[in-house]
Amino acid sequence: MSQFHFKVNLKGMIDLLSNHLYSTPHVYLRELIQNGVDAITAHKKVMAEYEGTIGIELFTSPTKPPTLYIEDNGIGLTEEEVHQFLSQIGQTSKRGDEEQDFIGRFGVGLLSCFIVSEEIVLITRSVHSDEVIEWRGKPDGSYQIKKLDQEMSPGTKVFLQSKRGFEEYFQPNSVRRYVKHYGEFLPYPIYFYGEEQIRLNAKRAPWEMTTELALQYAEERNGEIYLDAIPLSSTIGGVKGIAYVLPYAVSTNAKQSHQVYVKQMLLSEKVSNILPDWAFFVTGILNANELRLTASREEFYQSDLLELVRAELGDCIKKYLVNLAEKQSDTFWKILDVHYSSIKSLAVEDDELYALFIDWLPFDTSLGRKTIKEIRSEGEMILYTSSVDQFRQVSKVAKAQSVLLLNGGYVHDKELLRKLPNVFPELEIQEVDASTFSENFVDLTLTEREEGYAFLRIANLVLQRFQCECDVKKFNPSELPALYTSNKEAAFFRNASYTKEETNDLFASIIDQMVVEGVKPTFAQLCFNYDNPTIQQLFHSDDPELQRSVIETLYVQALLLGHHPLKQSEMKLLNKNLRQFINWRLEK
Amino acid sequence: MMDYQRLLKQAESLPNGDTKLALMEEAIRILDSLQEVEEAFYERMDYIEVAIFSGRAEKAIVSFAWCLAQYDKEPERFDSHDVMWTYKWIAEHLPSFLQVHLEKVEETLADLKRRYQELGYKLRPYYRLKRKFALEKGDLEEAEKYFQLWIKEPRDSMSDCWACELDQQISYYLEKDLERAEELAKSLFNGRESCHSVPSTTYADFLLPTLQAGKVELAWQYHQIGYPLIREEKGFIPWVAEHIQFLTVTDKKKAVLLLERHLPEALALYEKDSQFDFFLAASTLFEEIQEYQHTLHIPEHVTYEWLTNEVESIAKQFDKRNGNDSYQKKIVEVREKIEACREMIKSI
Repeated sequence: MSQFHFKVNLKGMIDLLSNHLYSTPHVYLRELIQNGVDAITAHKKVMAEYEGTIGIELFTSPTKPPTLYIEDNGIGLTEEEVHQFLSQIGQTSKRGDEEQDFIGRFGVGLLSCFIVSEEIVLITRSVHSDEVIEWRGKPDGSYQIKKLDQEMSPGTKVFLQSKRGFEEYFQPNSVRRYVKHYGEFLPYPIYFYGEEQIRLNAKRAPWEMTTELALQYAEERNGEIYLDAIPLSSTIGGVKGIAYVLPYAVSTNAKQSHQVYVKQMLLSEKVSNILPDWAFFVTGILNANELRLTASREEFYQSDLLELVRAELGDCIKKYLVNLAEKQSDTFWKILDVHYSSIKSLAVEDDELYALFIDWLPFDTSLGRKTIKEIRSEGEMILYTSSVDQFRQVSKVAKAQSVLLLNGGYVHDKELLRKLPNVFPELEIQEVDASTFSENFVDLTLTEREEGYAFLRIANLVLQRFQCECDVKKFNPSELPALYTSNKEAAFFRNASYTKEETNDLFASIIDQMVVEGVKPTFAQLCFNYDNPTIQQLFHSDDPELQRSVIETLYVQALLLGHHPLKQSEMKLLNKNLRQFINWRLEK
Repeated sequence: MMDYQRLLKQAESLPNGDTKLALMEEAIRILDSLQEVEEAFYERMDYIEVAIFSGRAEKAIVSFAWCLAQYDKEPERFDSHDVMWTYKWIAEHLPSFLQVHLEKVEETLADLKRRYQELGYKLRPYYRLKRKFALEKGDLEEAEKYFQLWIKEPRDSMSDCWACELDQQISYYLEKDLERAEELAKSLFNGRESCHSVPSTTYADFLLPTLQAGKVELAWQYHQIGYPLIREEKGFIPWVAEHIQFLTVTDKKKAVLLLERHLPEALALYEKDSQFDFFLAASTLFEEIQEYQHTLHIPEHVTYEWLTNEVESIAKQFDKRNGNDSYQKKIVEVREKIEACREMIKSI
């Protein structure tokens, strides 16, 4: 049996890289800088006190395409190393135990240069040798090596001439911009040699700054005034960073976007998976040293380690907020004001945060917006409705009676309220639905009852076919003639019978079997207010027909006030009565 | 922003469950009262999906009835594919409601078949539903007939996703040919095929058969991977029941934790068949832990006696409706299976 090696078409590979792996041809700059940084790091291993630098220059001429030149004073390569590392794809000098110290992993970085150039010329001298080696590589996979008879201090120089059509990637402005983009926070100086030598990278990264400086830096760099800057660090992931608190509210499911560096080289400005999902109210700028990258070097591998790091970074944010809450600083109030809904969603999941924040979180109540602290000061019994609809039904009544009723219908509010006794054992939480609430209305006296007997009888007769029971009580506000209340079952029942009117025979009969036979019919209630002048008049009217019309109209009005869509029969009721009122007027 | 838009936006950020449904219901009520038929239609279609995935099929059915009626009134105004797709879910859940008579289920399936044929869809989903329904009636011969029809019918855009179909074929083999089932499940377990409910449910279905075959460690793996997938979800009560059964044999303390966590959802169910599965699992667990039953964090009325009564009463009602004794048989079978697993563990 003979053994063969299949051939890999290098041109095809480069095409793959440029079209699929990397997001822009500009990455060739990142890969070149990266090699420089790695060479310097390796040099420092053998000679700690030396100062590494990287230099970049562009050569342009009117007749030839532009050429990029980049040099570093790093460790350099011997001839043997050049054969070994530059000429075999997938091979890299950065393998083995020391891998963690370097940014590169794949040894394919240099290939990205073929996206923009037809030839790579590399001149290098290793610290371990006096020989100066020139290597010329082509995209078809051929390469030449020769020893140069010249002097050179240890390091590596690369010349790259632009391919036709790729000149834009060699423009001084864009080269400067992209080097800065990728390498702004690299630890060694990167110079651009032009008319004058300029340093392209910053002297300090935000994650090495104090909160104050970091905020100032963000303002100068992006003109963004953040509410606060929270320091982040994770020992297991070797992560340091800053979480800027956004100055505007964001929706809880907004996509996060963080600027992430790996070993101080930009990974991406749109990483979403480095902070916990709940941290949507911050935007981070972070540097990670121990996390593995995917081959494109633009994302992290989803791994258990990443999970741990995410949790650790989440803890940093939590602890910081907790500290702010304890100190009651102005920043705390500002953050709360903008992000209270995010903090609510955080508090539902996290008991520790819950205990710290719950007092300061605002809720909708029948007496206006109030924090839990204010609400607690009103008494130990806390009443809430579980839906906005229920709240709407009774909040007027509650307000008129100065009863503090909370709206638990909005996102997270109900869950938060139910957890209250865990922190404040003296509190009692009670879910109130509209019908339990109306049980507190004042009953009529016996004589008042007798007086209204005929009226109530008519009302019940009239509304029975709408599965609605009537009653008369006294309650505030007296301007409210009647209150329509229903609970969950009655609401489902109502919705089902509303649908039954609309749908085909098959489904009408299914709904009948499912709902009518399955659920015991619960009646909604219409409670008339004895203290209301209209009701008083109606009580004492001796015209049953007028009473009937007004009762029906009040019923429809009450439904509309509670945002209940009208069934066809109810719509007819309204029209019929309006005509009736007009007729009566005309008859007079 | 309009009231209903605000409600919908809030609902959007919530996980499936009652709170999300409540917000959507309010939004739909407002749309109805504004007579915004088209908007109300599409919100209801979304709502149906959420209701199904929240274990609230009764709400889905009522909303679907409304949508179907609107669609029939003006078929060109709405997306027929959407409506017909949703119809599958509705038909599938209908038999779970004790009150719904069998002939209504038959009529619904016939209606679904007619509509699929009229619109030019293949009957693959219809045959699958017929098979499921035959099983419900305890008619094994008919079930086999429709199983064969189902897998022979070509796929089209109305067919269930691959993951779901595989999952159902797996459950066909799970009882009689574990190896074949494992073979089929490969592409589910390695993540090649998946959807909302698969392989979350597949892991659960494999628990007892795997344990019974003596592969204890593998069964543990299925539990450890499968349970987290449904822990936070609603609408997976029958599969939570399978995890409880597994833990009843292997780790009672953990079984109790699952029971406490999911009992409220099970108690609130209208779908009595799912409730039956859960109560049955719970009652077998209670047999094991009677001495410390009172220390559980569950409503007081839920005791061993109450659970066994409920299980028997639901079984009788279903059997009466279905005209067979398959539910009452299932009680015995599940107990036997758990016993067999226990013996198996002892022998190892």
